[in-house]
Amino acid sequence: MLGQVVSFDRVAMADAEGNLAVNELALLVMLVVVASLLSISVEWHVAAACLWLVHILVSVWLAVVATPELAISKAVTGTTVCLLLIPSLRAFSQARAAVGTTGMRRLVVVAGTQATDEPFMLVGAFLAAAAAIALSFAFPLVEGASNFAWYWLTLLGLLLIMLSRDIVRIGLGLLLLLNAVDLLDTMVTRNQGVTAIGARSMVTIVLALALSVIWGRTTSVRPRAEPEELPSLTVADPLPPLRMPLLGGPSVEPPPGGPR
Amino acid sequence: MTLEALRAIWTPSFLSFVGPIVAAALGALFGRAGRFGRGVTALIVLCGLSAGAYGAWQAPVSSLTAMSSVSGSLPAIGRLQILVISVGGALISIYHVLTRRQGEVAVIASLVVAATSASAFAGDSLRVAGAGVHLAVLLVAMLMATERDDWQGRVAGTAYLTMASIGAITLVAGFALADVQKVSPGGLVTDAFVVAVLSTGFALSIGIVPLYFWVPSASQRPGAGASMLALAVVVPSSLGLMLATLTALPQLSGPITSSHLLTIGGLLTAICGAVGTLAPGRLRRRIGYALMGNLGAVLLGFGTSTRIGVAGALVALAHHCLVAIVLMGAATEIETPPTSSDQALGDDDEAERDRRLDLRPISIAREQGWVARVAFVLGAIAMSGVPPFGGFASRWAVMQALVLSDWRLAFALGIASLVTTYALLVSVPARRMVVGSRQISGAAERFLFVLSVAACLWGFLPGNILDVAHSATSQLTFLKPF
Repeated sequence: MLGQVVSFDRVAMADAEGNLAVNELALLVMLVVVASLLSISVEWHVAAACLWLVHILVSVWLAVVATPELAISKAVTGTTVCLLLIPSLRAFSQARAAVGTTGMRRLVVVAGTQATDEPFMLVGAFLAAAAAIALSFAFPLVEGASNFAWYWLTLLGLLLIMLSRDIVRIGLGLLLLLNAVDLLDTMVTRNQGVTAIGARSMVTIVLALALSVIWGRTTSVRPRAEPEELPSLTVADPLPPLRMPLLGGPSVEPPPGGPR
Repeated sequence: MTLEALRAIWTPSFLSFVGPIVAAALGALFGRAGRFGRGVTALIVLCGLSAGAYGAWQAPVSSLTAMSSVSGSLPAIGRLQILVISVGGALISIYHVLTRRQGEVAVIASLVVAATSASAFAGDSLRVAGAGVHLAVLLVAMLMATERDDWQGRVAGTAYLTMASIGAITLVAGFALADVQKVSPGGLVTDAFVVAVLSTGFALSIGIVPLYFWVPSASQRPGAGASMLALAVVVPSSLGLMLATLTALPQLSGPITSSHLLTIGGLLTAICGAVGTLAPGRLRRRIGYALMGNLGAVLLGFGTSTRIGVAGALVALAHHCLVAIVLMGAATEIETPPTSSDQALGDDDEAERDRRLDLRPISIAREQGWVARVAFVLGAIAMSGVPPFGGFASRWAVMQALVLSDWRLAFALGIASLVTTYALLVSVPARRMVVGSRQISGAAERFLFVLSVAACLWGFLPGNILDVAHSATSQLTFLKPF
């Protein structure tokens, strides 16, 4: 009888472990797909949705491998972050669409051209995935498949930060990097206090707020044709410059208001 | 039950971060009400920061690793940190109000002081302390992007946000790796690896060579308030976090000691700061390099791992905050041309009279900012470490500790200081004549002049500051017993 119970328990445990492994694998696949989409997304709708999904997937991951409280805090934080970023993402996307028609040269310099970025980032994402797989086997710092998750998010975030000329992608890379380190920290210290969880959520939300402010200020840059605010009365020499006469004749001051 | 719990945690020490937060909220409320509102905001912020400093002064002192046993207690180093950054935040707010420029500097300064004060209360909970410093970084980056209404602030804000955030995130990763190393000492994560990760994080956050990318941009491009907050408030908080880390993670003082890295980083930072100050560039960019070099002296003091060296470095760090405010403010007053609002404020009566009489305005040449120039020169001399000025009083203990370990380090630091001072003194631009403008920001320039005199007379301030710092270092367990 006892042997049957033990064998039954073993089977149940094996089934549970199998289900858990399948769940983890499914989550990992979804995380890879969503994060890859985030790294190459051009449309702000896709970027915002992918960012929210990354947070939600990480929270589901935490629900599987850690505690529900952590998962809920992560989901709430991610939703807040996306709500904060959506207006500035939309404004930045509209401003980017206006580049070339309004002569916003500075925005072009900051945002960069988009023609070659997507294939390049896609290749970078594949390379990051390969590196993450290798690192998770060679240097497993935490348990199981969490290694791949945090390595993958870290490498993708670093790639976005280092290779992008677009400040939106740099910001998204920072958020991914923060998520990755948060995941590592959670996996190392499972039973964190409320203060630590709250402080990390606060940092993520304020980072999103700062990114939103900076993106919003960048889209409000004036067109190049508009004159700068120059100090009109500040000169190096207190005397006004004299108009030099042509052919040695007497200088002629133009009448105020221009020639009649 | 709830009231009892509140009563249990409500000690004067909580004023340290509650005071600045309340002041920031009220200041943001009143700041919309024009010029009068900005004055009220400044007053509220000063009250909040004073309450914070009072709370830190009244807080019971406990050791860094035993703070959880005494409610509302602070380590001695944390108390000094809160006092210094509260004073720094108050001085920056006063300067900003006197300049009558736009921007929410006073409100952000309060929030930054609150965040960094909270990090001092975190004790050996390094993640919470790191989160406090990271929050301060993010707030300053927001201020950089919004203080000036041109593209330069946005560039500086983006650079600072990216680099300093990567540094703060790396620190969290380092803390997690330190926990992994503590749990499995012989595992994949070694002491050297943890030290490398934490060193990278601190170098990015503080601006230590070779990871000082954000310093020139953050010094030159944004408004004065954001630069001052970044260099005079956030950087000292990061250094406080470094001391807390070295105390809470004693395994870092292993075979590959962090003191060696601190010494090398400090020496390189001092030399690179001196060379960068010599390079031609805008005045505020050169000041950024000079302040970076000054931090090299602080790092060298930390690297000695002696009580006298660290105490001297703490005094030098407090002096660094004061000098950073003076130099940044003076350089801003020297470099900034009068704005249209300045013109309007100065020439209202004359312009009205001219319009009535249909006269062309008569331009009068006036010299701009000679008080700011004097303040700048005094600040540069005060930072130099030349006797008998304030920098000497701050660095004397550091030099003593360096001579005890290796006299060549002290010699190199002295040479770098002299080069930095020379480069700063010759970098003051030629006199600028302003036509048709009043003397801009006269009150702000006089305020900076008073601060520069205080920086010069630092060694004569009441009380023996070095003794206070020396006794505060007694809780740092990573120091050598002398």
